[in-house]
Amino acid sequence: MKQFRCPILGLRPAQEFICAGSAIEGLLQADSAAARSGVYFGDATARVKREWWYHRPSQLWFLIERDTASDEVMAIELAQPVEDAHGA
Amino acid sequence: MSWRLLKYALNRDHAEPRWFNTPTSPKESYDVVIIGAGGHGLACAYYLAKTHGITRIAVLDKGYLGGGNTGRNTTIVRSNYLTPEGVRFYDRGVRLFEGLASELDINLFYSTRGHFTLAHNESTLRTARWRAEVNKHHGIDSQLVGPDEVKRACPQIDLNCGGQHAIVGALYHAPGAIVRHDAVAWGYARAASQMGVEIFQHTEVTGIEMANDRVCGVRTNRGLIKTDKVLSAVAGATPTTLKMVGLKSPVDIVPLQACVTEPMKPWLDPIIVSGSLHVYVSQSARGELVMGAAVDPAELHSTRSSFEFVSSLADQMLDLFPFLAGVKISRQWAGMADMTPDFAPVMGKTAIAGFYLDAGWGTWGFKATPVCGETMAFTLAHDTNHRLIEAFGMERFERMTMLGEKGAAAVGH
Repeated sequence: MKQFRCPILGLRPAQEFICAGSAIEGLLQADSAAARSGVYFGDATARVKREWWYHRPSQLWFLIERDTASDEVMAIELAQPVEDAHGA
Repeated sequence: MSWRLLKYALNRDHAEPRWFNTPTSPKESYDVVIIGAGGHGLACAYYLAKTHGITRIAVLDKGYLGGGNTGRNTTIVRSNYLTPEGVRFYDRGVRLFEGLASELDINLFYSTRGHFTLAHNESTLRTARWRAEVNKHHGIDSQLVGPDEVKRACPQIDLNCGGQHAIVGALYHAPGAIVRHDAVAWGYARAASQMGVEIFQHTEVTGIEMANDRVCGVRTNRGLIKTDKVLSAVAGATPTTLKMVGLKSPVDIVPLQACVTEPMKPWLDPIIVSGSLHVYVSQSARGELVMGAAVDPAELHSTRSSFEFVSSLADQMLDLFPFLAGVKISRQWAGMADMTPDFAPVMGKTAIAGFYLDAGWGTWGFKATPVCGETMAFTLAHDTNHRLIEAFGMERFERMTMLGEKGAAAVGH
């Protein structure tokens, strides 16, 4: 069974996470044509890419670096501090 | 052993010729090179030769004929889509499929079963009603039915689904059918081959040669082949061929898995789909239940199978058919699906002259095999997009004119 090694929760089953797509650099700063191009077009060959993943039980967002040929996770980090995510 | 068989074995002149030609090496040039000897590529070669008289065609495949998604899908043919563009296109596909066995002189085991898309709540019922109305508008046999009609067509179903998500109705599409998928590729290959098309298996395209923004050849592991028209029909590997001509990809690769049970006596006549439970099932001529679900959760260039897929599929399937609890899964497999943002294909001419695309076939490509062949053949022969595929161009993601086929393309996306 596939698992992710979460930096704060340890090993968790992959089914607890939802992939929310590629983490696209500079998307918020881009003008609409560049944003459209960034969202809809890219290099989609097998590669190492950064993605947004949401962990349902903890309601935390993660940025994961993953190899799309082997499914190996190279890096996983919290997208924002836990206190910010949970509004504490 | 019968005398006839013995005589046949000893005779050097066999009456039945080989199905496909096996030329030793590619010629120096062809009018058209098709990358991908799956159903789509072979169908295009067939219609180019038959309808447009273009026979100097090479079909290249890095693997074997029909070994990609043609041999990995769950063989369902239907036309009850959601957008008018999709409905018109797939309707032509169903009509071509219905006459295909006699046209190609091969038994495709085409079996019209009827297709139920179950609704377990009001919102799914609303989409079903919407689809039925769009379908009827285009003359397609599609209607909303109640739970009683589902039960009548499939008495084994648990309408309560274990009490969790009772069936409240369904979209019924009478022409829904299943077909022997391998035979579709073989039939097109044989017919195209007889008209002079050359098929090269185990021939990998490693690059596409261009001069002045025009295609002028393909590089392969068996040398350079000159051509000024290339069709990429490689669902599951489209980003790779796009990169060869310097185009960015609107397609992401995501695995789609499927499995079959051990064979059973025939009990399931219709094709049953549940978007809410993310499963679909039909019974093949061999008696196996052919089952599938939604695509895997993330992009991946691999045909690996996962236990997560089969366990979650079995869990949902038992809500529909509790009596299957003792039935074994005998095989599972995966294909790499060309997923697009709007669940419609990407077809036609591209920004590169001479480079044509038949891609974005996500989880909905097999049923489109004949109509893709027909429309892409027209597009290549005339260098003009066929009217049925005008809406499917890659530029729709620039112009924000997406097609919104998500509600009808597959389960649980």
